Amino acid sequence: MKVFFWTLVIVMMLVIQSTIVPLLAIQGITPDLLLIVVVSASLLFGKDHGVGTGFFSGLLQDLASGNIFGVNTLSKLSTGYLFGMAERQVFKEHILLPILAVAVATLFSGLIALLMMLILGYKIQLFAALINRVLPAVLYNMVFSIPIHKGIYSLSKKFNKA
Amino acid sequence: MRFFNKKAVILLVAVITVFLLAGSSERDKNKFPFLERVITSGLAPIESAVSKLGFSFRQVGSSAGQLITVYRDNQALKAENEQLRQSNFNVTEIMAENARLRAMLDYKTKAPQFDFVTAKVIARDPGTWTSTIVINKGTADGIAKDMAVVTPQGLVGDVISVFNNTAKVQLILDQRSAVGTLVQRPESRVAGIVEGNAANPLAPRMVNIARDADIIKGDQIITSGFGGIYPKGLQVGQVTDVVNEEGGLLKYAVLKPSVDFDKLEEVLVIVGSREPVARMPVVPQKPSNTQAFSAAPQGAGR
Repeated sequence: MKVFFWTLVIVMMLVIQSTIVPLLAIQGITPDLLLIVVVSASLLFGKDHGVGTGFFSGLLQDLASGNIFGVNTLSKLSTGYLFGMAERQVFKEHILLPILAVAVATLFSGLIALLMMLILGYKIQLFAALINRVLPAVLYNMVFSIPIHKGIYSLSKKFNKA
Repeated sequence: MRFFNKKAVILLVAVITVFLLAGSSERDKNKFPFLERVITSGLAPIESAVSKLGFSFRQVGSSAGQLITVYRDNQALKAENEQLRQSNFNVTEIMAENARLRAMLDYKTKAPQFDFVTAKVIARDPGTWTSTIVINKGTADGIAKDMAVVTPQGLVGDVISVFNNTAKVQLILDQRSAVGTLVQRPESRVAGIVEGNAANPLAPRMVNIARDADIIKGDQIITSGFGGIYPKGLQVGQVTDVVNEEGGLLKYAVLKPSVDFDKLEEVLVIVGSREPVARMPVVPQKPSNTQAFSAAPQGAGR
């Protein structure tokens, strides 16, 4: 049941991410809905969920985009791990939690992704990329984190009761 | 404790596997053609429906916005129409002249005359660091890998993988993309390579330009046809800035792409390009003329 729930959430978010979200692009910057899902999953349910959703949503993202394989997989997996460790130390109902966490997560996963691309030999100006792409995405992700986090929180409650 | 270790081992193995695969798939792009096909084709119908919904929503929003600016636009368009009519007249003259001169020179050119397949964009790249789109036409419609994709505004990218009814297009904004290009200005014609820029995807760069090359702000950049994927003469973008590269020998130009990549709904795939179809009445006589002309000296030689 849990697997079914998360598969559904991830696939739905992936579809929205590749169809609706590009229409909201500002200067080519788009929010990363799947990253928010990973952060919410790990904050609400701990490391195992975080790593699992991170791995599979990143993998799907990499495969669906014919991407530089592994960049999303590893950056989301490590984000899930990091925030899963914080699970027991946070107030899950607090509204600021997803906002702040997503801000940190965007920076963290962006840094991991960029470092990985550097290691793989792509030409990237690390600081320019961080400032032009990761920082604006932080703001955008923070805006989207509230509805997604709340949605996952209440949906998962329903699923757990059923 | 033992349980925790087991999980840690699984995690470590997963991370290392992904990293190794990432390293190897970088060299050989299509590492998982089957999985990619399943996911892309499986998601296509859903994505197609959802993106149709999204586009129609945006259309409502933008047409409401257009109502407000419509009068001003109308005035501007009228003025522009006058101008265009004038320049169209000039162009007709120039075309006629061009055809005459060309016939005189017996100049055979591969002026681009393309066969297009129109395709709808059904999905964009869900990842942050690359730029691809998925279109709703595939091998069933005659699309193959490495075909150039354009809009009336200019070059969009090329087909990187193709399935039955969908295909994936890598945009020129993608950092892995490289397009052979020229400066369109007749006195310049400097060649360079346009590459996507990961740091700012909407500003690709034309690189490998010599420090003293003649390229200035405002230059139009077109494809050069080198490399064989992109036909010659497609609009790529306009130079917004020229920057000297560190190291002293080269510089690069920052471009504003001609295509509005934020609003990409329909694209044209070039499935074939053929010899020019002459539009001017003078040209069709050219082949017979030249044959007669070239046959004559041979006969005289014997």
